[in-house]
Amino acid sequence: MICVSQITKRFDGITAVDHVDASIKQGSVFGLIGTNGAGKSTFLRMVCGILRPDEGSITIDGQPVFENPAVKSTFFYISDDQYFFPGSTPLEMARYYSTVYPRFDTGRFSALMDTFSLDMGRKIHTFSKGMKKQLSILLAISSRTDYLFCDETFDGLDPVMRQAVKSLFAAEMDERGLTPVIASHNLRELEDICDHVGLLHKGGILLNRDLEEMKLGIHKIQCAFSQPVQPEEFPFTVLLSERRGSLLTMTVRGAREEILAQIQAKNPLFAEILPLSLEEIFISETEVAGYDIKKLLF
Amino acid sequence: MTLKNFSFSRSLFANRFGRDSWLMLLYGVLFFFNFPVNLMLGLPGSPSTPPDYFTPAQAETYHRLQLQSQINRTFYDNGSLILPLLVMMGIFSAVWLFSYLHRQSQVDFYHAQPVRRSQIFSMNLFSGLLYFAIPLAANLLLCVVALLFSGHLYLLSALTLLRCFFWAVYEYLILFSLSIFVGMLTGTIFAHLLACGTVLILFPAIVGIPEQICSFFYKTYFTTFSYYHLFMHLTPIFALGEGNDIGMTAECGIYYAAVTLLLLVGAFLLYQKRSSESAGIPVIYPRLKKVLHLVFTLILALFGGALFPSFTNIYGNAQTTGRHIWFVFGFFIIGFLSYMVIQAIFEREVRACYRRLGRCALALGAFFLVLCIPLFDLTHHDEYLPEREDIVAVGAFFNNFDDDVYSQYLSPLSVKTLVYESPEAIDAAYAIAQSGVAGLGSDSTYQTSLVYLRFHLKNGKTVSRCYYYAADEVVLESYPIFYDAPEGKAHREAYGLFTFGGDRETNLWISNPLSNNKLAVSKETLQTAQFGSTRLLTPEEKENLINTLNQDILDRTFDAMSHSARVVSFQVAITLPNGNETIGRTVDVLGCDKRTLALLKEYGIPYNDFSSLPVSSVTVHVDATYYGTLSDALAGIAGNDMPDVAISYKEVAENGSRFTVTDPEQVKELMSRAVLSDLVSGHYTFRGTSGLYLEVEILDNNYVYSNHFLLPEGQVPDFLKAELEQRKDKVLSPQE
Repeated sequence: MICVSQITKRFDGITAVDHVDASIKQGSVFGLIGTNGAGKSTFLRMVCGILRPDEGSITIDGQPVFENPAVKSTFFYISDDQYFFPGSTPLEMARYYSTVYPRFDTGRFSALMDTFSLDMGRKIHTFSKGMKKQLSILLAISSRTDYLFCDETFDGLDPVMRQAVKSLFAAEMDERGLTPVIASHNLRELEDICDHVGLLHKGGILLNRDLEEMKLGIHKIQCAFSQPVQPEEFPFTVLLSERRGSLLTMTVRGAREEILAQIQAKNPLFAEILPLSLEEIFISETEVAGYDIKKLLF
Repeated sequence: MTLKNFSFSRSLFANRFGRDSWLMLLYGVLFFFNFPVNLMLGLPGSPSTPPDYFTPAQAETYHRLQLQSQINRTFYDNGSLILPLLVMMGIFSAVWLFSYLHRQSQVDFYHAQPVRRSQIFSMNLFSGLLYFAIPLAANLLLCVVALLFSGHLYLLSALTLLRCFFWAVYEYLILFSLSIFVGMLTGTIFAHLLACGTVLILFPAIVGIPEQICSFFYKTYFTTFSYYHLFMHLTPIFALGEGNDIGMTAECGIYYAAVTLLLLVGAFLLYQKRSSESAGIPVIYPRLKKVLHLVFTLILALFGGALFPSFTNIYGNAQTTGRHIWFVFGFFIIGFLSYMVIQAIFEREVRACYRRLGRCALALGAFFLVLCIPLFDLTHHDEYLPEREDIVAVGAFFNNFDDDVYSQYLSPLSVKTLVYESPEAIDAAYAIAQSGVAGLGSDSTYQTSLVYLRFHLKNGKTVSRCYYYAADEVVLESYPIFYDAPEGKAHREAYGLFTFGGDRETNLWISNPLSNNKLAVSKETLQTAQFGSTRLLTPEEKENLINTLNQDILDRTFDAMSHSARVVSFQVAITLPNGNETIGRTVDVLGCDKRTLALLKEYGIPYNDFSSLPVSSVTVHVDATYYGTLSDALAGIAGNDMPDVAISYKEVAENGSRFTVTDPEQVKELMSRAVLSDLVSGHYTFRGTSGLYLEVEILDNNYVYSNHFLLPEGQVPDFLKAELEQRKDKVLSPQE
């Protein structure tokens, strides 16, 4: 488990991360959302022990991270600009990582390289951006660490490859309890993989919730009434509402059955609960907090 | 923090080592040219004709001396390219090994791995040492192989080889550590290199710049403090270089070892504290960036100020207005340009060079205001003279006086020993100072002469000045006062006292600082002499003597002459041709003024007082320069590396250019007038004068002198003149 407590980081008077708390359970997928400059990379670098927090503490499985090789051997960090030795091949990089990470599985790496159709003996500097990303992920998976920190890793991957990587993550999670922490500015990218999300904005954390809990508590309802009905007439909390003619669309908080019962009580002509996207959940939640999330994210 | 924190895995190191093998190859190639190639190119292929102080039977000895000399040059001087190689390798190794600190992606890569920063640091440090030491060792071994195949391996000892290796590694480590330390403060390669250059010149510049400013602006500026000395010691690449006249003293070695340790510890601590986000930032500490910027700008501005006047070919001293104007121009132009270039480097943007020029102008202007003090002599330095009644003694040195052969070998710092206490001398010196400074006209193409004065005051302080003079000034009239003063005579006499002796079989030499005369020593000395020591001295005695002489003679003439921290000791080169063994090598230089002689006596070091030796005969050499005009002498000098007398030395007596004086009274008279001379550089003594070379042989046939003495023209006794006149025709028209 990763525990982040009140960590703060300042550079030249700019507070990149401002008293952030987070708790990442083992075996879950944590998504760190934020715009450019929100502090995602800084946050991840502190968690990886690259940067020392000015305030606060970070522990992984109860041990501090900074300058702790024992703890660092339990995670692999994929930065948004991954470095490879000049003139090296995937095989050489694998050999290097096998010296650094004791559990590195060379066989697994070879198998994955075949699966993803990457040439083991080809110079990495001839790879495309997407191929380099793929290689980074395969090296990370093959290191067989407990945690995997990914900084905008899915950028540069085509949709097919993105799905393949997500499947790979899922398989690793099932097999050995891998815990990925994925930072991205793209909600849609993380939608079907994350269990827990945190929203960073200007160094601070706006939201830190379990996705299922968020989904359970928020619903999107489309309904139509013979007589005009105002959202305020309903006893449940309406987070968002939109009317198009007689069709009323509301995003509401509450238990599903209760909400349905309360709507039925008004004798609707039509009532249906629609699936909510992560984006809609975020918008709803953060608007409550007074932020126009659309401006932040999109 | 324990030692374990600095350990690193072998596999990690092997990976690093493999990737950096090109660096070792590069260093190997450079060392290849510096050591094996340099060695083999310098080894004489076949025996050459030895100089005339070797007998024909000793040609082999001479050849071996030449071989040994080349081997010494290679292994003691570490090859001819070692200084630039050390600087280049020391700086480059650190730049390369820690270059990952310049890029964020690489910093993330290394610092995210399960490796401590201390382990990364120690691995890079160790790698840097190996990348230097391995190719060095390989090339030294190549030298051994080359010497083995050429049959000269016997001339190289294992100790010499090891010494060469460890000195080079030590010197490299110092520069490497300096570069690592600097690298921890910078985040780009350009800033790293700029900062390395700044630090290497910073301390010498701080020491040297004030002195250079004073000597540039003040007409009479002269100091007896050896800035050269201090400058050389503060610059690692000079202070540590073997083969120069500073050399590596034990104190210097310990000082730099301590400095290296401090640099490494400091570098490590900085690395631990360094934020990973500093990658790509030229100077990671903002305040240091400003200081570095300013310091480098000012140093370069001063350099520009010193450089520009030279473009105008204005010779002479500093008081011409033209030079000052060029100085100001150069100061500001180079200052601004330097500021702009450094600004572009620090901001990583070319257009940034136009920013903050106002700050630059302010800094340069403020510094220039300080420079106005010497520029306009606001402290009246040049006009100042102490009151006559306050002066108790004066040190005086007249540069460039042809009649005084010793002036060719001394430096202005000899005012420390050429001290005159007579009222006449003090008055004469005071008159020179009062006569003012005659500046050299801008149309003059002749180099002027200088007189250096050091007034000793009642209150114990000294005032030092130097004055230019033209040939017709009062100083020429004052000179005889100093020349004939008791102090002057004693000074000249001191150089006539040297130890010598020896035999033809052993060719045991002792050199003296004034000349390259080779002095033989006695058989007794030969039999008991040990490497690096004199006869009968224990190591402790020798060390005490050297330390004492260093202490007492630190400001004496020999120190001034040699500019060496190792002021006075013994220079012994011992070669036994019959034993095929080289016992010693040139170590130090023995000075023999009266004070030194007293110390030699106190320590029981045997020497032979020249005046007490029974000289059996004196062979007089005379050549065309004795009879010719100045132009003949100059023509003769211009045409030969050696003066004619050296050629005539090989001629048989029948040519009429050599003859021997055996009358005891005449011999005694000659020796009382003769002064030591230098066969090799003897032509300097012929500047406007002529003289006779004397080869001296003492009574005891076990001893022979290969010394040469000069009998200045004005000192030729009457009984010799008739003989010389008889030989004039023969000498001026030599037979084929």
